[in-house]
Amino acid sequence: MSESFSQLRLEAVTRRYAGGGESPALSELTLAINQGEFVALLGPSGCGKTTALNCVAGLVPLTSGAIYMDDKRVDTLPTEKRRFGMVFQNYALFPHLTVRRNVGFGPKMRKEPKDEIERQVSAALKLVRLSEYADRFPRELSGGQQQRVAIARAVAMEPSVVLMDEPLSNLDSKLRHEMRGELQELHRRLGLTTLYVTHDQEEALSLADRMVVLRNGRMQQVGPPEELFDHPVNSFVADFLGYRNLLPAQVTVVGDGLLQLTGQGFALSSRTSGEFAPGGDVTVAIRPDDIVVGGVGDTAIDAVIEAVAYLGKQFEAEVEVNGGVRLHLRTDERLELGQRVTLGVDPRRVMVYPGSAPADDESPELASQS
Amino acid sequence: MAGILTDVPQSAKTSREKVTIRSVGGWLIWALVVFFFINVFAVIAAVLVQSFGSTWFDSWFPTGWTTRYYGYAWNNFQLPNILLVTLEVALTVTVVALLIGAPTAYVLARRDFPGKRILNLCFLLPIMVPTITYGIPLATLLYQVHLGGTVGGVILANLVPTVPFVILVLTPFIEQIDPNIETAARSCGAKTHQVLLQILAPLIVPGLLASALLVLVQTVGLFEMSYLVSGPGSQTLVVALYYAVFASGIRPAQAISAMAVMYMLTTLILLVVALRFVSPTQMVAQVPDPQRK
Amino acid sequence: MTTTATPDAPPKVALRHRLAERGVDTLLLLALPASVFMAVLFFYPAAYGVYLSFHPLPGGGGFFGNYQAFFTQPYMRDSILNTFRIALPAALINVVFAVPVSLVMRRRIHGQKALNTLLVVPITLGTVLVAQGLLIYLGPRGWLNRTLTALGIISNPIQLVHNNLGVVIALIVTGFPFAFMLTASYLSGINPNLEAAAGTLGASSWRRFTNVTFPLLAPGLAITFCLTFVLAFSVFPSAQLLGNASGGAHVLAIAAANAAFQDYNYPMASTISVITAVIELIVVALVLGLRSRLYSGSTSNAGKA
Repeated sequence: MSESFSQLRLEAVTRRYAGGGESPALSELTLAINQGEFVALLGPSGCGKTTALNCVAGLVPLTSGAIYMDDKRVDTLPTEKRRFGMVFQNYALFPHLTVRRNVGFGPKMRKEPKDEIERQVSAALKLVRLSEYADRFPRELSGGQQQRVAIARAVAMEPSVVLMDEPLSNLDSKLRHEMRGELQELHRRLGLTTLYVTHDQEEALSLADRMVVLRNGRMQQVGPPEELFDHPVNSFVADFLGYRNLLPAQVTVVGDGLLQLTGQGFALSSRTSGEFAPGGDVTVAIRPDDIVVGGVGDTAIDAVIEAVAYLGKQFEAEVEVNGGVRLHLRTDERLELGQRVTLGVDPRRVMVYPGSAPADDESPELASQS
Repeated sequence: MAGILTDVPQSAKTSREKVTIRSVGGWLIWALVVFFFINVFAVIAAVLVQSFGSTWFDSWFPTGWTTRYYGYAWNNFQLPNILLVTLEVALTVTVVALLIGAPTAYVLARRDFPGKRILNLCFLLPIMVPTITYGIPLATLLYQVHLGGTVGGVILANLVPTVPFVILVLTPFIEQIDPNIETAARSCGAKTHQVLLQILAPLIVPGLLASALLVLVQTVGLFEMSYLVSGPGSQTLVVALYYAVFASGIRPAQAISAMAVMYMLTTLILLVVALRFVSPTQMVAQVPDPQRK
Repeated sequence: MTTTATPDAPPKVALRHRLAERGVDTLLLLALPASVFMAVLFFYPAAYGVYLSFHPLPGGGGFFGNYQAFFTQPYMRDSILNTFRIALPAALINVVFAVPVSLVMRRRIHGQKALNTLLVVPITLGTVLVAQGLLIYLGPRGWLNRTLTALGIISNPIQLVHNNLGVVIALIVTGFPFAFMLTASYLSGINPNLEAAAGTLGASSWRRFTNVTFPLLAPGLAITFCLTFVLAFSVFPSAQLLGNASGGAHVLAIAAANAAFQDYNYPMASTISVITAVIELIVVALVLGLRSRLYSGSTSNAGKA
């Protein structure tokens, strides 16, 4: 169904807005997307992910850099010549056209014959299970249905690449889960090359073949979801991917592939490799569900439960370590307020990053977003 | 499916051509806008230049300059009295229009009741219908009750388009104030009048100010109503200017222009003040917001 | 004004509750002063005008005497045509030019703000002052004729005032800013993503305009046209001052004013007012009728978020 090409390449794509200050909205993004691949651009608002998508779509011009499909340069083409289907955050359905004519807009612009348009429209509508809504207007549909029309419209033009800009963020959480499944299924069936923008790490983890994390217009890390999830490259990525505990610490012993660390009221070991010297300031990142109540091996941190919330299956707790540091943890065990506990973490699940600053001022916002 | 990759160079070229066509069109539009403004400001400048000219006949500029026609206009057009009337009319209209318009705006913004749409329409109609069409029967009636030709009559006539205007400006303004604020005040034990005066009134002060300024500018400039109802001694500035222009030839053209400049100054000062508080678009029309539906 | 409880008998309380259920309570009294005011000073005079128009002065014929007189006197009858000759071009020019100008100005936030501020000047100055200025500027010895002569475009001054053309020009000076601001505001209500979406679907900038922007703008343009047309159709001071000096730029508003203030024939003046209003209503109804065949609804389409 889609255009045959092997790779969409972004080369040092940079976008600077007039009056946008020193730093560009998107800085030298280099990325190769293979045909059929699902790549998610992930980051907090203002990180440049939507700018990147708009650059690819041709909605904003590049300040420098280039975009290629194989050997053909595409960033000099106007939007309408690129044939990249796009799904917008608020769907951008044409309110004055019926569902049928919305979906048929792309083929019509390509001046396809009428029966061909009809064929493509019904195929696309069948795909999103909206055939019986063809003659409705967008305003007569629910949010989820509008979303599916937007997808059908992008698919009906038989695009070489599909661009999706936070397509699920306007839906409520139940619908979001459903649509996520549908997107997965759609991608599996059509094998469309997809560039997907989101601020929701779960969405990116579950859908993408590869994830790209952006921050302040710069790429932080790219790789398969598991790689990013298990081994974030820096404290920002760690924070964004749910490592809620970011603690300042110092390296005490280096050796044997094992780092010994101490912080305010705790001592830990970590299997993180890298160049660390004893006495160096580091940041430790730990996911709440990697903290084990009762201790692991020789790690034993004494703490008091300060706050606890029952999540239905698990308990989420905030504890205070003797030295005053606060930790977040998740466990199946029943916890009581004021209870004294001993905590431990598997050294393989303790990430260590050089530098003492645990992320920066953006982190509280990130924590609340994910 | 082959299309896109093969015809890249060609389409790149056409897109560049399109850009130039589009920008040529853009420049043409800009040129038109500039042409429009050159003419508008030439119109204003012509009045200004004439008012200061000693004689101006068949030349680019007057042969000499003088300010004496301002004094002439001041005395011969009875401007002190006219300015006083204008001020009296404009201020009274503004205050009265706010006093009776604001409570109605509140009801229309907050309440849903049978006949609301009709009431809305009733207040919209006088703004949509040109003043001259209902002004003549209104003037006829005002003359019958001996209000025609009086300052009171002029005030009443000017209120007809301004009261609905105040309602139209204030209603969306009140709508965007969270009704929960009022509920909260009520739950604290405030009575209706306390809610209105102590909670709502301070919140809508910006809206009141904006509509007051809009009404002031409108009333000073509104010609038809004052023209139809006023008589000697109750003319506003714009009406007096109209009569002066209409009867040109009786008095020197420079004096008429001098009076026009004084009128211009009055409105421009009001405009500058008003623009500090309202957007230019609001000055022209309360546009139905297409996003509110 | 407060809803103090009164010791009413039970059935009356029930009625009160039923009314309150539908939103009727004493608070509605707040709308009373303005409603009474409008009834007395707008609706009553309007109705009185209609009544008057059917009661000609003695010797003016029967019930329809005034209307008969209006449509049989060529001078009167022609004023309708003449008003159209002035109002239609003025309104069309204003709306037709408002579209490309607002398209070009769009997204130039600062530019548009400055433009709006400039445009508000001619409107605030008002019709009388603009007419006075145009008389000087467009006159046979005015700057415009001088410039055109100096540039060699014309050899003799062209007649721009004291005819219909002068009135049309005056209506453009005050009417265009109005049309532009309305159009620009309707345009800004159209979600720019819709055009971006059309672009990604392969629509060139022209087809984006014809297939997306224009259909969404059309209902707003219809309203803009109606408002500008109605203003132009009741043109009064500009026509009086800039129109044909021998009373030729004979528009309906002038005919009505003359009937009232020169002939003291108020019934006839009211008749002409009624005819003006009816014609305006017919034109507005026609345009809005056409409009209802277009798409009309939200142009922002922000989904159901």
